[in-house]
Amino acid sequence: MSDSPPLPKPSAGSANHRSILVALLVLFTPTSTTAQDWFVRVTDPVGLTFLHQDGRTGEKHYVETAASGVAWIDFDQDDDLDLYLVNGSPAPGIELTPTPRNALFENRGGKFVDVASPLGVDDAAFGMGVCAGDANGDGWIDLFVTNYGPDRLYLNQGGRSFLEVAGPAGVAGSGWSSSCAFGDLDGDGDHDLYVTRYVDFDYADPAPCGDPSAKTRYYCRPENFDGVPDALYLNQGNGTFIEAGKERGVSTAATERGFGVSLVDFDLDGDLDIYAANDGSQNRLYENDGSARFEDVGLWSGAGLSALGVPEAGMGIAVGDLNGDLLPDLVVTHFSMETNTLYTNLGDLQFEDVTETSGLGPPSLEYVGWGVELFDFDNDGDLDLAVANGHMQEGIEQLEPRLKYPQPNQLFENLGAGRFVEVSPQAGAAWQTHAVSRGLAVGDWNNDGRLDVVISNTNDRVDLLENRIETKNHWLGLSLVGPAENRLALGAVVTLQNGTSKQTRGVRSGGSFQSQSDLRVHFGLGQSQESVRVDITWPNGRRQSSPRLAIDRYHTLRYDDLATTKDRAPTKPSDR
Amino acid sequence: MPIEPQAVLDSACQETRRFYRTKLGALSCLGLLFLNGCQPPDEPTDLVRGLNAFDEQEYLLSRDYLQRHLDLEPNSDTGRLAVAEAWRAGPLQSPSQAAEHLQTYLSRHPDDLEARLNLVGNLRVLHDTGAALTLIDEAPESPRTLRARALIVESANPDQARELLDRWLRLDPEDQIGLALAVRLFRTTEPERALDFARRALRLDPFDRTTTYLAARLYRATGDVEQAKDLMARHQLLSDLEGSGSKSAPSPSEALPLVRELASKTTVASTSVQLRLAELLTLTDRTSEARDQLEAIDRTDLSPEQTLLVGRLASRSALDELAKACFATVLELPVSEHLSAQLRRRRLRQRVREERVSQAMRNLDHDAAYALVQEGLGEFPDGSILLAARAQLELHLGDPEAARSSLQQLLEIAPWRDRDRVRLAELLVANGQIDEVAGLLDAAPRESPLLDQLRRKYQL
Repeated sequence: MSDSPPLPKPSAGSANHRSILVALLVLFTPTSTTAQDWFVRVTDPVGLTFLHQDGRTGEKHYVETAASGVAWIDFDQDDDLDLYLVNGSPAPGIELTPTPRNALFENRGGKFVDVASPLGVDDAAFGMGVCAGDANGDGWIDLFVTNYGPDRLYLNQGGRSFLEVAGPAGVAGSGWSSSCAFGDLDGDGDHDLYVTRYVDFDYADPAPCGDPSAKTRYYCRPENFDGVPDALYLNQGNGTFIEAGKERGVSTAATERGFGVSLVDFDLDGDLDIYAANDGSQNRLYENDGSARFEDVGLWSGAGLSALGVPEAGMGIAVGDLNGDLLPDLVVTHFSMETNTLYTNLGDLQFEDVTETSGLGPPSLEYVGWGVELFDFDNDGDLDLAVANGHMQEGIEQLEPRLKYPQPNQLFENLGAGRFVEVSPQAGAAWQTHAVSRGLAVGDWNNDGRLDVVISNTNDRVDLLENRIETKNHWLGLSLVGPAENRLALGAVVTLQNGTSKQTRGVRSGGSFQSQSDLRVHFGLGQSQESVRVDITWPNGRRQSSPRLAIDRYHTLRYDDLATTKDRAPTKPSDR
Repeated sequence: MPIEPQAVLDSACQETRRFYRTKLGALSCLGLLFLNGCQPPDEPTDLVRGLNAFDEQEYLLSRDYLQRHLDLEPNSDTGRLAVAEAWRAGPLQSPSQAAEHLQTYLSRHPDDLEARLNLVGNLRVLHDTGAALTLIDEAPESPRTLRARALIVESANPDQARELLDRWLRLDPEDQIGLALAVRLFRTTEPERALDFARRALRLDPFDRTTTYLAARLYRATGDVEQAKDLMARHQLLSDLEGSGSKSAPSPSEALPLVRELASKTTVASTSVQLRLAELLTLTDRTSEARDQLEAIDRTDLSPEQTLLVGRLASRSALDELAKACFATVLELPVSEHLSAQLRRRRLRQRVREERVSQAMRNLDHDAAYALVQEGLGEFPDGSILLAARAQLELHLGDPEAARSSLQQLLEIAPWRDRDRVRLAELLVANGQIDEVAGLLDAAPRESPLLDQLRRKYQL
């Protein structure tokens, strides 16, 4: 933390110790020494004019409850992050002027300009989510956009335009898709695609749910609809995909309504496993045998249900090593009256729900959590947590005064070993405002080494929360360029040793809720000023070590030569 | 078990006739009330509609009808308890509203422990620990109050919860809920001890999903993978039975083999297994087996809810003496205790009827189905599913006039059934009575796309 000694790490199981740590945290927070907010909403100054709209009329179409996602991508490879924002769409027969469309804001040295229309990614369908991958292996970031209705696959044409090819590529699907993620699931180097699918909603025959006394409607519950099986698309290497979920062991039942998904090598055996969060039923953990044949071990793993063996309303997923054992742990967001859940990875695909001792439980009970990311916002060397909240039921206040439709988002500081304390009050006004938030993604938009957060809000402006925390902590950012067949290096894992502690980060597509965070990896280094080395496990299993890397800057590490080909100093606020 | 004197039945009759026409009334002691001359009210009331709506899981409508009933009769205990239940059921729950109604009820019946603990449960959900503990303090200490207190402090103060649990289990060492809580409390600190509690808890109730799951995790952690797998498979089975697993909830005939399988895996034939088996045997019309099952149950140890269920099952299986004894026992309990129990129960006897009708309809045996419907409606004149089935059958049998009448009757007691309202509207149109359709649609208690569609179709 800024101007403060590093916090001692608590020992496991010590409640008193934790109380002392909380007191220390309060004592040494930057707010005690500076009036500067840690995060500042900069949506307007940077030109993010985007307005999310779903054209709701009061009919309470269920499709309006879960949209829409956001993505940080560097689509033009100019070394800064651009922002893709997914929009809703009105019900059939309803016109909105102008028509809501997805937006692609190009980062032009501190200002964002919407280039979606000229570049051909201004989809006007009812958009849900977005994820980044390289569908045709040309090394440029492509976008997959999930919709209510056919999905879109936008192939990046060298950063100059996009070509929509979902139909011919065999990934258009239909109905209600939610989150997505690319990754090499079958070990052939190209990017396969997993798409969660939610419920069988139809505008023409919506389930009527309402309040008879007021003759008004409420949004139905997921149980009012059948679930739709998730889609597993295997890349054929020729620009087309084949849906092979059932054949490969990914087969969800009608009681399963898919929301979040994350492709991660949970058991460190060299292949990507799939964790899929379901709304109201058991979550799935599909263990990969290395050739994209899967076995669901969700129930057996302990990550399929809550600590008490009951299913929860799974929404978004964040993955990261929270306790320094280099195993990826899981955070899953849930509905109000349920906690957000932290599953710690015990190894061997076994997880333990440790929410009760993590500090994440009670603060999340009144909120409906959606987007979620683990990131080191204060560069102190451990992963902190951001959660986007917002109830799905407009008017919930009239039924249950304790609950609100717009809700504040939350920031949690990792006290070490996966114990969290909420720091939203200290983090600034940006974390106090109430909105109906859904998507959340993390990325360093201004390359200053402090990770920023973008949050989408239903029928509202987007929130770009710029991280301005002042600390003496250092950092390291890495762009990985993978082998020829996987230039984006999806699935690569980077380990950094800093003093006696080790940190690990992954290059991941998708995650959070219907959103995509920066594909670069970022390490907080605390107050260490030493240059560092990193070890990289590439998606094809090859391991390499980097030379010593200067801190407080971004480096590009290439699989082919593992030479530091770029070495950029961070942008100073005065440069913007 | 002796049958209670007539006075007890008369007294029960007076309370129960208010909702005689409902399935819930039928569930408690309809047979006995028939014998004792209780007469149904002439018209369905908002209380009847509210309880019916609750039973059909139309919780928003149920709240509305019950509130209207309470506006007219604010001292209706049945209405007050039912509306509290309705606020805690379904997708749009409000523990605050439920707590408010329970507080009103409790102000009139401060000695009703069931209602008090129900309110404590709501306050626990609202994290109003102080108020919940005060409510417990006001009641004499008993295993149930100790239990409620331990559940309140379970997360915030596990040490205190363990201490309460010790006292509670000394008072009642075979309390399944206490043992299940012990598993939760000791699972991380003393896994071996937790496992011992889990074994005891599962002997008493092998259907406890949470304990089954925790036991599986504990076995896994202690290296007994085979036991862990067995229990995890059982957990999956239980989840499927509840419809929260990987499959949809099975029908009674699908559930029966699952429960038999489960029962075969349990070393101790517990009451809950026997009851579940008896229920499924009854629902699938295996009367003789159901009788054997019920007779095997040791009635003296049954909870009020279990007693009620045995009574209902026995009644269905023509074990009249057993049924009467059970109903009489339940009638001795405070009114809220059996009302609350009823509100949580599925309507068993009626489901039997419905199941048989739907089976005959699936077999396209319309005549047999019609006979079964009539028989069912003789017992449950306000059975909405049966009435809807009758209307459908009357159409099949070429009697639209009778179908109209059945649908009108149905919509009186179940006005939320939009599809049946549309059916009736189409029949009226076919009969040249299009003028009546607008009124029919206006009488719907809520908006609905189906009704909107109809309005557009006939430009109403």
